[in-house]
Amino acid sequence: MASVIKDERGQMLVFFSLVVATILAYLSVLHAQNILAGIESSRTLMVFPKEEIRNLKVIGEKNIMMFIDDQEPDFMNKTSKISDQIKLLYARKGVYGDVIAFMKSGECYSVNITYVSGEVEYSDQLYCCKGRGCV
Amino acid sequence: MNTEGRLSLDMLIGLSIFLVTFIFIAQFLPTVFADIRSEISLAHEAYKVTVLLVETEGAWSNGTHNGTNWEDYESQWGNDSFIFLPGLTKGEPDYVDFRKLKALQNATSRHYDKVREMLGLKTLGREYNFHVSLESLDSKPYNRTLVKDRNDNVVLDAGAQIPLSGYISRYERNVWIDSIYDLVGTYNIGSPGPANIFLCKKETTGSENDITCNLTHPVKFFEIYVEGKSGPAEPWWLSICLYREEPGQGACSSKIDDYLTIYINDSKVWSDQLQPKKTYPLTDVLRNILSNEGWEYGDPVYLKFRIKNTDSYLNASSTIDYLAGKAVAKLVVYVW
Amino acid sequence: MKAQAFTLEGVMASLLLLVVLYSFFQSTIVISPMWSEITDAQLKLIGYDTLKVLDFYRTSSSDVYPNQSLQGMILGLNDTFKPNQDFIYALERMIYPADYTLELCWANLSTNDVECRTLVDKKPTPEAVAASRIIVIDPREFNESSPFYGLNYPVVFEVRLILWRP
Repeated sequence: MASVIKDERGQMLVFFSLVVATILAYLSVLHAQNILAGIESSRTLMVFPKEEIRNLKVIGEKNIMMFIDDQEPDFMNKTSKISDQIKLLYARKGVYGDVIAFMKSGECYSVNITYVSGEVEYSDQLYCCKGRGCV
Repeated sequence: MNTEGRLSLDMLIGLSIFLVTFIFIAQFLPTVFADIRSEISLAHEAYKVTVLLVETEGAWSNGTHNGTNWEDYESQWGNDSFIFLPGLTKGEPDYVDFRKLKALQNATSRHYDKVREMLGLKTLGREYNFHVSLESLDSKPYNRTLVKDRNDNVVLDAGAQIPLSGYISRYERNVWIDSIYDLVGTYNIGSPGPANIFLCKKETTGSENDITCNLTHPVKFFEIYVEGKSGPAEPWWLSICLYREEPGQGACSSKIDDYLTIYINDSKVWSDQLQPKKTYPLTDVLRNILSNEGWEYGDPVYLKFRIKNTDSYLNASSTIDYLAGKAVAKLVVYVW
Repeated sequence: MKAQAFTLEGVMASLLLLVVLYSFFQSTIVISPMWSEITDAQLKLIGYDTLKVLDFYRTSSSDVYPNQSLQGMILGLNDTFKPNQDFIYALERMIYPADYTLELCWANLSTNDVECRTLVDKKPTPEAVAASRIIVIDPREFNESSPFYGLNYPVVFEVRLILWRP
């Protein structure tokens, strides 16, 4: 068999091209992983539940403010019913979301906002007064 | 082994074919990967710009003081020590301030590179160009309808020229704008004398005013404000007639004294008593009347006013939509 | 024959490299399934923005909710759960040219369960995205023809807008 291949020097060329091809393949896989990692990290930014959390904050700031003129027992009753409904609605999506007002004094109240999902845990407390917004 | 010390032609040819291919590939490869990378990051850059513009109030700082009213410091925008985030909102996301829109227009036309830096589009590593505009809700990328203010000036259309080819990322955000009256033109329809107002032509015939307008269905914003009677003469009335084709000279002759009446084909479809200092919001009324009569999206509407002894104004816009009590448009951002 | 051996190998080597390069060109498909997240982002943004703009906050209790607002639409619902025409016009105008399905969900505190109704029913495509917004309505606003009339606590609604490109 060896006698058929008389000149073996050309084999180096093919061998080198094989080596180059392997290196190319390895580098592209590396590069693709890089890009995928970049996409994944910016994707998490885009899927973060920013809108849901903002929605809860707006409910705490504006919707609960609608009942500021009620007496304290009425106010507490209404806000606790709001909290129950919000918990039910968010539970349907597999998330714990809650807006619960407490400590009403005069024209001000404090509200706790919570959002807990598989990836994100958010908790905040706002102090809101009529006509002055929240801090 | 070849012991004669001669290079064989065969080896040279083989080697050169191989080397040519190798060099070609080495040149080519980076561009393949670079294209993909820039396409991905473009989308994220454009998204980031829209969030900065439409969801934040913005901020400014000059080293010693700071605040959120960056639009008030026009003289300092170009200073190196003055940095600012050109957010457009009034504190709520998607609620945009008219003054900040104008400020962004001025800042981008005068200090384009500074604004790019502030938006994070111009860093040491790479640069992007951008274009931002406030467009009507039915504006299309190939046929843009820019929002105009009450003086018929474009509100926001700033940044580099949008290229016709290449990778461009485009994001649009629906926003509502503070102060609808900055965006809506006010036209005196009760005063005598000829004039071209809005999409209308006003003429006086005796003691009456005759106004003909060419609009398109659906009418975006149309409101009449009645100040009162002009002068002691009786009676006063205002008739609006709607036609499918250009009406003749004598058209729209029906009227009901002391009333604002809308007619289609000379039959009354809506009326309300004229009262001084009253606003008649007719956007939804006109739109519903026209749809019920069979007008389709894009159909022309020939509107003719006849007005007598009434001091009144037309508030109208053909670029801003009036929805749920708000002036709504969309902010479009291009990044490349 | 002997003299051509090198050229042949040179050609083969180049061909091998070109084939490898070509196959990598094709294999960039690996990255494209992620693209759907990027194209969906625009539609999701439009959905959230639309719901935000149509949410009407009253500054005083004498303000009337416009028909085109989310609250105005909900207050105008009767047993057929059909939203008013002005609202449909406003919604379609803002999300044009996307097609949509609109759902309304609320919590029933007596059964501790969530009830939902589809207000506008069309068939979504697999690439549809959803945006939702939670709003609260004072129970004194409901009139007799509303299915929510008679409750004595503020009702929390979730409006779900499902959008897709037709």
